[in-house]
Amino acid sequence: MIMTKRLTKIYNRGEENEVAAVKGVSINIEDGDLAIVTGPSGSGKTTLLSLLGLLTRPTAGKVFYDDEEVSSYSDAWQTKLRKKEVGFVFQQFNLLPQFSAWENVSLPLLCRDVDKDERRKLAIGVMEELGLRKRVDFKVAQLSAGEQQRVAIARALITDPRIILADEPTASVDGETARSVLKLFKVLKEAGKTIIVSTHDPAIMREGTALAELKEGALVNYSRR
Amino acid sequence: MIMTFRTVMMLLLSTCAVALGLMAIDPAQRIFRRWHKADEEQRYELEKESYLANTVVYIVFAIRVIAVPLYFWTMQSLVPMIPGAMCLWGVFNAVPILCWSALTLKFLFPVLYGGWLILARINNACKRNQLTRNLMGFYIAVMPLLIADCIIDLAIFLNLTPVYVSCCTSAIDLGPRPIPALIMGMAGQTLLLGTFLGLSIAFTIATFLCLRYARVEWISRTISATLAPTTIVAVTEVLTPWILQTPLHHCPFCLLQNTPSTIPFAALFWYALSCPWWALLTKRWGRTDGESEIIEKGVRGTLWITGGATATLGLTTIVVHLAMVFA
Repeated sequence: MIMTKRLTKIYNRGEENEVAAVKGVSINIEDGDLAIVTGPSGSGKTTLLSLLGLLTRPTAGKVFYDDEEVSSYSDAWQTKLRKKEVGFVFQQFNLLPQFSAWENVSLPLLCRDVDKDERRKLAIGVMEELGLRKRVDFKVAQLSAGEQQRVAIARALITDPRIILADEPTASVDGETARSVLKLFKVLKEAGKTIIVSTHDPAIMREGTALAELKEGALVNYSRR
Repeated sequence: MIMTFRTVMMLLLSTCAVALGLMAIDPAQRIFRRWHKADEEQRYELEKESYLANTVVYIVFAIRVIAVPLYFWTMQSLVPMIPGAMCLWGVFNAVPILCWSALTLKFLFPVLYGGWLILARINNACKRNQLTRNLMGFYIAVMPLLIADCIIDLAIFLNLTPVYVSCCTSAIDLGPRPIPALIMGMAGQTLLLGTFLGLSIAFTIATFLCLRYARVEWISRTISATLAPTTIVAVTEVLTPWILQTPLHHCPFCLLQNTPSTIPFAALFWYALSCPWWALLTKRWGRTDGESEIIEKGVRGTLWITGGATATLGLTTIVVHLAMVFA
C-alpha cells in the first residue's frame, strides 16, 4: 500500500519564481491497484509521481509504503528501497543510445552485481514477454518509438518491482503501441503489481482502479472503483 | 630530518590528515548547527553535505588509526640510524618531549577515532541517518586533538636527527624504584603478575557478562581503567624481565623488539580495554530513537563479544609466553 499525507512540494522556495507543484495531496493506493493520476499540463502529475517514487523530497507531508514512513529516509536508504521496490517508465523513454536494447533493459541489474551472462539471460526473458525477442541486439536508434517504449517498460520490469510508476507512457507512441502498453499494464495488475500512471489517455483511465485528478497542484478529485 | 620511505610516508599521512581534517570542519559545524532546526527539504540538503563530510572524516580517522602501528614500525626502523639507540626507547630520546607525549596520545586518541568510526557505522545502518548531528558534534570536539596528534607527528619526523642518545639500559636499569617488584623482589613480581592476571580474568568475565547484564557494564569499565596502568606496570616490571630472562632489564620496547610474538598481545589488549569505553560512547551518543537504539544494542553486543574475545586471546598469548619461559 502507498499512502500520502498532505504531500506538498514547492520548488524555488522563497524566491520570485516559487512554484507550488503539489499542494497537500493525500491519497491511498492499495496493492494491485492501477492508479491513474490525471490533470492538465503543469498540474503536478510528474512531481507527484517523483514524490511517490522517492525521486524528490517533499517540502511538507509524508509518503508511506506499507505503513512505513519512507519520505524521511536518508538518500542511501531511499536508493536501496527504489532499487528493490520501484520500476520507472518515463515519457521520453530515457534509453541510452550507445547501448543495445538488451543492455538498456539490463541496466538496473548492474547495481545488483549480476554478471553479464545472467543479465543478458534475464533481459531476453523479459523482452520475450513484451514481444521484443527479435530486437534484443538492436541499437536504440534502430527501434521504433513503440519498441523503445516497450524496452523502457522491460527495463522497469527486470528487477521484478512491486510498484511501477509510469509518467505518460503512451504520450509519445502511436495508438497501436498505446493499446499494447495498456494490455501489458492490465497483465501486470493481474499479477499483483501496483501501477501508478500519469496520463491523459481515456483508454488507460477507463481501466484504472483509483483515479486522482490534479489541478494546479491540488487534488480536486480522488475516487476508487 | 632523517629521510626514509617510512618517515616520508608518515609526514604525508599526517599532512593529509590535517588538510582533510580542516576541510571537514566547515560543513561539520554547519550541519551541527542547523540539523535540529531544519525542515525536511533543508535536512536533505544537509544530509547531502554530510555524505562528503562523513567520508572525509572517515578517511581522516581511518588514516590516524592505521598511523598508530605505522608510527611504531617507522620508529623501529630508525633504531640503526640513531647512535646509541638499541630499541624504541633510544629513538624516542632523540626528540624526547615530543616522542614521549606522542606515546601517550597514541594510546588515547585512537580510542576516540575508533569511537567515531563505530558511531558512523551505526548511523549508516539507520534509515534516517539520525546520528548525523551527534557525529558532527563529536568530530568538532575531537578535531583539536586530531590536529595536535598530527602536528606532533609532523614535528617528530621533521626534527628527528641522528643525535647521540642514551637508551633504556641507562634509564631504567639503574637505581631502585618504589614498585613491588624491586622492593619485594620475586614475591613482589609474583604479586604484581597475580594482580594483572586476576584483573585480566575479571575483566574478561565482566565483559562477557555485559552481554546479558547491563548492570555489569560499569564494573567492566572500572576494571578497564584499573587494568590499563596495571598492564603497563606488569609488562615493564614482570613480563619483560621474565620473558627476556634478564632480571635487571625492564624495557617493554626491548620485549616487543626481541620477542615480536608479544606484539599481538599489546594490540589485543588495547582493543579489549577500549571496548567498554566505546560501548559507553555508543550508549550515550548512538541512540536517538527506537531504530538507532536497536542497532546500537547490536553494535554494543558485538563490542562486548569482541572485547571479551580479544582479552581472552591476549591473556592466552602472554600465558603461553610465560609457560614457554618456565618450561
